[in-house]
Amino acid sequence: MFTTNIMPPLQKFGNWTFSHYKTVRAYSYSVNKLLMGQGRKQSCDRFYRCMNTQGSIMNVFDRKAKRMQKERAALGHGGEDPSVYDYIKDEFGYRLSDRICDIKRKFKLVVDLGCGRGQHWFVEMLLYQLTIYQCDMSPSMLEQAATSTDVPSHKMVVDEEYLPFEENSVDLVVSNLSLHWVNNLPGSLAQIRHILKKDSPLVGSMFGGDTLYQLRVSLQLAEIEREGGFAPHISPFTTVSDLGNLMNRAGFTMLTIDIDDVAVTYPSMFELMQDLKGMGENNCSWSRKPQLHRDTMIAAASIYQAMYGNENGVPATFQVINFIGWKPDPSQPKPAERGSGEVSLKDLHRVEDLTKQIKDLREETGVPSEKADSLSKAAKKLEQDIQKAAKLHTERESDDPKKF
Amino acid sequence: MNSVKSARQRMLRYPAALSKCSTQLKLGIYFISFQAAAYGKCISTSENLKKSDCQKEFEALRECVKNAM
Repeated sequence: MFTTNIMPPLQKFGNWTFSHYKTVRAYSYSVNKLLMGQGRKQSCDRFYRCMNTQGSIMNVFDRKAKRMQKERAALGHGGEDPSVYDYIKDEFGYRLSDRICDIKRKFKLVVDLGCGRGQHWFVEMLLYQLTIYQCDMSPSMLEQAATSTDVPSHKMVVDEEYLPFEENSVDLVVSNLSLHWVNNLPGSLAQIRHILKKDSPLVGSMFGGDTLYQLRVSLQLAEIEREGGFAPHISPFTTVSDLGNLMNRAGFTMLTIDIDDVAVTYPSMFELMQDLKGMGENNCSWSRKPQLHRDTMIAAASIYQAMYGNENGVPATFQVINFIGWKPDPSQPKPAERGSGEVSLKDLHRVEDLTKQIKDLREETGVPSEKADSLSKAAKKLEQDIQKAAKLHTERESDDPKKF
Repeated sequence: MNSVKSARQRMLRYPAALSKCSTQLKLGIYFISFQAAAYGKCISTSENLKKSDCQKEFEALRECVKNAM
């Protein structure tokens, strides 16, 4: 058993360096090997709690099981083509790349956390040179990760909870649909902020609270009716408000969070479960039941069809939260001081009137007063904003609705 | 492993077997509601679901799926 002198010194997240990461990784592997049986969960819990200075954290997911599941998914479950199951990650990777291309900045060093089979379209979309570090916790998935010949990419096996990068070293961190398996999400976000350079973004997407609610409800009802109680088969997801709070707590500013709801139709519940397994998204919480009886499966599939089915099959909702957060920096725009406003919003409807009044005032006195000057500046800015909004409005009206 | 392979093959037959027991047929003015749909309706309309509330419908459904596999 371990005694206290072998445990690495407790460090706050702000002081983590690569050498500490190595000791911690070695420690976690030995802990997992030695501790077995019922004691393992409590001991791992204690270990995770030691590594976090903020108090108790959740230990919901068995990361070792998740790595095994991802390995099996990457190797094809005995004869399948794993790229068939990539459609969700591809679609949201594409949407994420869209958002990244909207940022007017040249990124030199990019880290892709939880890259899976590496769908980074933005590498082709962006027209400047960058280096990308593809990180995933499963080596087989990394091997199959797509690389492009123009962009130097380095593949690293990285656990999202222990990032090996130095402080202030990364220009952009991307995370596509992989943070929903992280136990210590506040710690992980804090580490991401730690490795980012000042005024650099974290752009990511993760599954939200409503994901797969139909599957969850069907399985719960079937288990209650067949077995008398129910066990969790769908992992808990963060809600939008929770994610906002987490990002703020981790120290990100200028958050942009929005939700995408995608409903994919499957012929029945069995195909949905097979696809989830093929993606490597099977359940890996510590409290998962080891078996799902076929009676329960048949019952759940019938309930799914009856409650949510349509003529094409059954829909499964994937609710994805896209978020962008920036590391704080003095150069970022701050909200204006209270009481520094010079024009009232009540005067918005008579901007032209105001400008005319100011012009008349100027002509009369000959010398523009300070208040008149600032008023005229504010009025001009208001006019420009109104014109921009009107232009945007007409553009939106004339756009093809199919574009969106 | 043979047992794993045969188990996987068996799993792939479940959706087809279930679909045979789930479509509704309209005969004249009557609906012949098949077993899966009947079971689903029983569950979705019952309040305070307890164990074995829809046992009869489920037995019928299980027989149907067993015969269809």
